[in-house]
Amino acid sequence: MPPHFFDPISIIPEIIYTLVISLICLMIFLKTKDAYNLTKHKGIMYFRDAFLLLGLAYIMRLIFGIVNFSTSLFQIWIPRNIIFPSILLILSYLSTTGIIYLIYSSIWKKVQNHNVLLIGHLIAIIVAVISFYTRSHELLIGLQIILLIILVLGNMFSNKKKKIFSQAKILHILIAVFWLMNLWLIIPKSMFYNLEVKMILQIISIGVFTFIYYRVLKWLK
Amino acid sequence: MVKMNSSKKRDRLEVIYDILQIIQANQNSIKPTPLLRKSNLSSQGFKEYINELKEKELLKEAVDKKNRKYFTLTDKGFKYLEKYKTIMGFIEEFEL
Repeated sequence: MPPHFFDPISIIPEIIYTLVISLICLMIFLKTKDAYNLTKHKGIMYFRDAFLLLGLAYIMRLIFGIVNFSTSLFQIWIPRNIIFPSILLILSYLSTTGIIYLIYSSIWKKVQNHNVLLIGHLIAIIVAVISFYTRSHELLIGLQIILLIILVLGNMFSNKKKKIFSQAKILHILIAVFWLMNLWLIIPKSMFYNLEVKMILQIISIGVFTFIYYRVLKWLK
Repeated sequence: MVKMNSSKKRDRLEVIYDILQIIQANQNSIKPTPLLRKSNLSSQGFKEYINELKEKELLKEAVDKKNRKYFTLTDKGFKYLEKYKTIMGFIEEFEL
């Protein structure tokens, strides 16, 4: 079977997509700065930090894809033994912490244990170390899916009085789900990879992020 | 006269807003005892909030010509009052 060749043209929409998402995340982070400085409200802090972490995670995702791409097509020497797992380590930590912070921003008041965030960071480090040693982004996705399910179920059971899936929580879950899908589709050799599906997912995820930014802007011009 | 919401427990941001609003309504100058009375807080709670507000530079303590202490809002305190409703709207919208 001939080797799979990565289409270099598909990297351009990938770069554009990453820049758009990272820019939106950065703008959400900056727009909420004043509100946080005035109130020192923890929920606002976790919300901001989540988007900063996810923005950085998307950039690392792009670098991860480029490193993978450049070793299969160009004759550029990259010390893969060091760079590839290192990028995966950083990517894992940033994205796992980002997801945890995002979900935690809406449940922190109900959780009375102050060590929860510390535990969250420990989980993110463990996931990052596992990804580093296994060099597998598919395993990272699997671990993050399990984490997301646990967080969502935990939120459902702790929230008996209010609506289980409010608009805000649905948006948070969608962001996490789109992150997982985009991480899966960064490598063309991934199973079920389909360029058209990928572009549709990316357009929808830009829509979700833009919608969140628009809602932030509505209150915090 | 500023009406205090005593029928339900106020959250932290609401208490801060109430304290700052009392000061503003009193022509930006009020002595500690009347402020304590109007804020509807225990003396321990009042002390903690005032320390927090001073630390966050939302209000400052000054002394008048007769050497009596009084509280006054800072620029940041005025900004807090101005932005409070929009920030609360944001917090409620995203359930933070």
